[in-house]
Amino acid sequence: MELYSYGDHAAMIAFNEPAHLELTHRLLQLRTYALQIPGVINALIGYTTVLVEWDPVSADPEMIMQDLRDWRSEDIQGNRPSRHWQIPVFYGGTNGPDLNHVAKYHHITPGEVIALHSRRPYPIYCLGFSLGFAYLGGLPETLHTPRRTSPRIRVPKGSVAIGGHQTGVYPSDSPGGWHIIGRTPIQLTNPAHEPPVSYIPGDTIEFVPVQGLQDLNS
Amino acid sequence: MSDIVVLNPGVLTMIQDTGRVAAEQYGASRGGALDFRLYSLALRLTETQTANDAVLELISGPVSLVPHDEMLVAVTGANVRTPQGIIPDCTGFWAPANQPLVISRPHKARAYFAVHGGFDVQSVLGGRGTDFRNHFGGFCGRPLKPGDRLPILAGPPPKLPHGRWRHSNLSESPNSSGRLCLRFTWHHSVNNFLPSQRDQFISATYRIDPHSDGMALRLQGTPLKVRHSEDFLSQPVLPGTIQLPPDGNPIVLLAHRGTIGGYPPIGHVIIPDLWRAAQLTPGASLSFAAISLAEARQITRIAYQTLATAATYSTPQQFLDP
Repeated sequence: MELYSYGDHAAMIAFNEPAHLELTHRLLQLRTYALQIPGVINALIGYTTVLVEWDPVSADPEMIMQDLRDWRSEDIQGNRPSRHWQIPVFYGGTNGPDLNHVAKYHHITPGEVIALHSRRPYPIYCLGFSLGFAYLGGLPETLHTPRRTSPRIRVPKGSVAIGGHQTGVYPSDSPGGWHIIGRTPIQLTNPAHEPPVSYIPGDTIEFVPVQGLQDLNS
Repeated sequence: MSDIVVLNPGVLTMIQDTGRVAAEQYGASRGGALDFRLYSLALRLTETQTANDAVLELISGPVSLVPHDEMLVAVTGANVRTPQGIIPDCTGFWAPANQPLVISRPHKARAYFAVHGGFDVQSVLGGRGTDFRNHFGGFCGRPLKPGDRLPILAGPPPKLPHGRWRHSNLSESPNSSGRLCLRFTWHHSVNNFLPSQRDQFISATYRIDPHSDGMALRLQGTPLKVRHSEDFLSQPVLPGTIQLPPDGNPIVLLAHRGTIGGYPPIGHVIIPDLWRAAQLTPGASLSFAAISLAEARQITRIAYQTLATAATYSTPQQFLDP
């Protein structure tokens, strides 16, 4: 564990190990611990890091740095138990305009892309980019696909996509350079609700293929 | 309860406030007013409580608003044309009922419009500001449109007598001619850069790229040659973080950034200089100056204290010539 100043009112705690769920649970503990230190206003989780920010006027940086140095990981049992989220996805067609491209790129059928992408647990490492956007691990190497050469101005809300070695689902309309292979009809975020997102880092997500009426009729 | 009707909303005029730091754990950015100095000044000039801290942030002009009743308002960063005459920048004044206020194009990049009592919009995830990318907060989660009626919270009666204007000793903007120099502290891993690369960074002059927005200032200059590690893992980032993408042109992150960044940081701009950076328009030039952590902390504390303790005073009305 490495602790260093990040600008004049924040510190980064970095762990020199690969991202994995057990580490994510330690980061969550560290986040909870940091938010209890007087003067700390924010603590953000990355894959293997926690960024702790304090009030630039009233906080005591030396005291906060010392408290962070004193942190020791406790028994992970104390954490909220991980939850597993199943997200229904309409793959292909107008919902997933890039499914065929991804299949062609890997010389497999669209059905094989769906079979490889769905029905497996993806760990949530962190949230960022937009409200409720989850950075996931665990995309099978056979589906790693270079990003689109030109990003789309608008990726529709609910789109499930692959970009490089990552996969994810867009909770709201946003620009994006990933390949869209499907779409979930589920509303993933609700800003008026507390919390606005149900899943947190440390949970897992599974994509479950579903058929739309248009698929059944064809 | 009164309201203000939007006649001409301008481009991307939105309700903003101090931001919603608590929403960042869910992946939203804190957002909020980018020039905290002019934002605070607008609140002060309208005798607005910090709890009702929603204002309009303008990046274009003219913007026309019609108050439904007489109310105490202020504009910082632009002039206002009224039927009585032109009201100079950074003035709190009684706006007459049912007469248009035409706010000019901001003198720099951003201007603020505040009203006594504040805008009565719902607090979402701990803030009243507009999250334009995620479509929530502010007024219906979007920029203003013609015909919008913005509700105003009733406040205690303002102290400013009718027929007088309110000013602040902060109103005189700092001498801003010439190139802006942003003070920053080096990032922890800066030793990965050669001394010559660090020297190049602090001696270079950069220009603001037109693609800059509330998420980031994108800079053009002589690209820094950096050896990039292919496996840089995305990390949380803050407003002020200076990132170096593979093309060697630095990016200064602002309050509407994504909370996770994929490029290596090289430094961190101090908060008061971010307020000034947010006033830079495309094509403007800037440079960087490295300072110590202790200096950065002291400058930042003094900047906030100056805003918190700035006094206001009133004068007779004195309209500018058109």
